[in-house]
Amino acid sequence: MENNTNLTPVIKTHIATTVTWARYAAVLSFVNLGLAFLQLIVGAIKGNLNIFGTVLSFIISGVITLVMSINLLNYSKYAKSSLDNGDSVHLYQALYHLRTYFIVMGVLFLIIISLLILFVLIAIIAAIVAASH
Amino acid sequence: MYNEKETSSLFILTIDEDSRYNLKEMAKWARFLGIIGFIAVGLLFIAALFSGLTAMSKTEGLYGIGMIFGLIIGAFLYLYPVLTFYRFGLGIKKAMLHNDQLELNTALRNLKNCFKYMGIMAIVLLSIYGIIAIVLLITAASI
Repeated sequence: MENNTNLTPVIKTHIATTVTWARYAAVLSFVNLGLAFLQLIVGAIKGNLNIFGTVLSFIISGVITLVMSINLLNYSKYAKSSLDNGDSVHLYQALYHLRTYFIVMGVLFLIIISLLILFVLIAIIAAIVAASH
Repeated sequence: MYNEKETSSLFILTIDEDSRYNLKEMAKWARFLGIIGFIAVGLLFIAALFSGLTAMSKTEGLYGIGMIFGLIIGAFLYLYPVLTFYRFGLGIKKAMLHNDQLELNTALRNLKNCFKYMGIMAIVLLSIYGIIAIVLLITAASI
């Protein structure tokens, strides 16, 4: 089948809007990450938190947030560049970063769902064992 | 801001095979996330019903009603982005399958709406946090 899908002016307008909001969302995520880091430092100074657990959860959530935000920011950057210069390579790169962003989000949800199912199964087994004793 | 007048002056950007692959992959994950989102919204509605009824039977009725309304509003707020995200995935799939320009337009409009909605929601939430912070500061200063 012939590939005849183009980026029409209407589509370019839609992409331009997503560029603005994607950049805004990415910046917001970076700020959020910075605030979480600040909270971690303040908590550590006050000494009222479980350092190992808090640092570990910060690192995990921080890495995920960072990867997602960087991809969103790169999408925004390359999509804007492709719209400005009509560059198909930048369009490919923009879509690649948005795809990666979606994949990270999807895999994250898959892990969360798997963990939820695991917890439910463990709870059911524990309830059955407790009832049999 | 880009408008039709501005963008029509650019030469036509075509979606090559590599970009089509990216779009197809994106569509798959968008549909998956959309379906998960629908399930989450459904679960929120069920949670609203159960937790509200439990709260009403145990504590004061007003608290239970408040809880039901809170969760239902939360579920409704999530419904729109989930719907647009799912439509984006479905639209891209159809557009890539049939080389349908109109479907591609609609799909990307849905993605735009989803991004816009999430951004506006973030602004609203930040504003609420800001108001709460100001109110707390004023209260603390007056004590």
